[in-house]
Amino acid sequence: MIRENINLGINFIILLLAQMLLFNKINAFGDLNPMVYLLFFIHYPTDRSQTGFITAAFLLGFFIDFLSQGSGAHTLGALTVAFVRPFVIRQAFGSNIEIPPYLQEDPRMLNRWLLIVELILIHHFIYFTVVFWDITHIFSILKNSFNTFFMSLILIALLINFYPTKR
Amino acid sequence: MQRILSTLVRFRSFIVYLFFAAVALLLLNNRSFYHASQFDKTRLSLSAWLHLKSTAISDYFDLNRQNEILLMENLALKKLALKANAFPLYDQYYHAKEPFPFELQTARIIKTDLQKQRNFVLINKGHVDGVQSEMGVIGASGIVGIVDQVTTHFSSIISILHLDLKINAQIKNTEVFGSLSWKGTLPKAFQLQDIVTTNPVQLGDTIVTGGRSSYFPMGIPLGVITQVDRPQSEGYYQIDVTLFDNPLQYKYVYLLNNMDFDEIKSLENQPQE
Repeated sequence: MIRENINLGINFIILLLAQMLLFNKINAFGDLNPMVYLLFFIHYPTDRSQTGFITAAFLLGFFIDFLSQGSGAHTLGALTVAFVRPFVIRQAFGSNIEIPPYLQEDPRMLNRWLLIVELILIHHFIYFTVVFWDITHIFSILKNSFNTFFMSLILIALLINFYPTKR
Repeated sequence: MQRILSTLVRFRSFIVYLFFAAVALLLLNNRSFYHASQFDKTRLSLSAWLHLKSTAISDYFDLNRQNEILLMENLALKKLALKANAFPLYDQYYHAKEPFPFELQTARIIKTDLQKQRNFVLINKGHVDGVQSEMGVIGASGIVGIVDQVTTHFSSIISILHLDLKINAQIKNTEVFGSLSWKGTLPKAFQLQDIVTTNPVQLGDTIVTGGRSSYFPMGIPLGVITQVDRPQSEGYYQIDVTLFDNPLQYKYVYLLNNMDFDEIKSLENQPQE
């Protein structure tokens, strides 16, 4: 348990630093930055307390915002993804199926990728909605969400392989 | 208490989410000028919307009082309008100190008959308000009737929709006088009688009160001529008149108190020699 917590903490710090120092500086096609810290939400064990998860998500989003001079969009995005994750898991895997504690170990590829896609889409949509904060900019919100979504998805698909599959 | 606690525990993740979301929004408000101004806009439109709704509700409950205020305003205007209409009869009063002989007061209709041939209307004013029998009663645009019985707090009015009531009427801007009475069918269907066929009468002519009675001043608009028949054998027209207003629709009416009524009545009651 303690080791698991330490692993989670290391994961938290590595993703935070990677996002801060590397991925926030990519600025592809002008201003697109993939958000790989979403790996934290995929990797976080499903058998843990939901309140603790929401708190961790808040801290992660808050630090990213704080260190990148952001206003609070990462915080709200991360917070919302953490809150809706149980519903999305049930939606992606089915409500009657046993959910493994580590989602990246689950052999059902299609369900797993459905979950990842949904989490990224929800996060990006919330993030850009908060950034623009104006319904008249809905087209820009959707455009930025989808563009960033593809970059995030590709990078997450690559990086998820670095997680150990055995506990 | 136990239930409240268990509900809080059950929804703890939602409560934690709301708490952190509020913190994040607060940060957003403090750290970004753009978001602060956007929040201000939202706050403004929300408070304006709320204010509008609350005003609409309070306005609704204030309608009765506003009605009373409007009624009082209308009373003053009505008096001026009647005075202006009756100018040819009472013009000397504009130069003398003696006022227009009709005093007005308002009343609310509490019951209206509509299915009989001889209809009555009840109003909420009686002796204590200075109502006397044989006072004229008018509505917003037209006549309602003449006061019949008066009790302490209520009065009954012989409605204009009463087969026996005849109102002295005149074709506007002419010297042609007749008497207007209900036909007993539709509330706006009236007939104008006693007009000799030598007088010129046109369709669409306006009918006003004649002023040759002590109940109503002259010039109150009543209706328009919609049909004129000229029977060969008789010397009088058969004229159909449609009223401007349905007399059943009034909720508030004006009572006309003719100050000269007693004097006129005493003359009428003197034995003829």
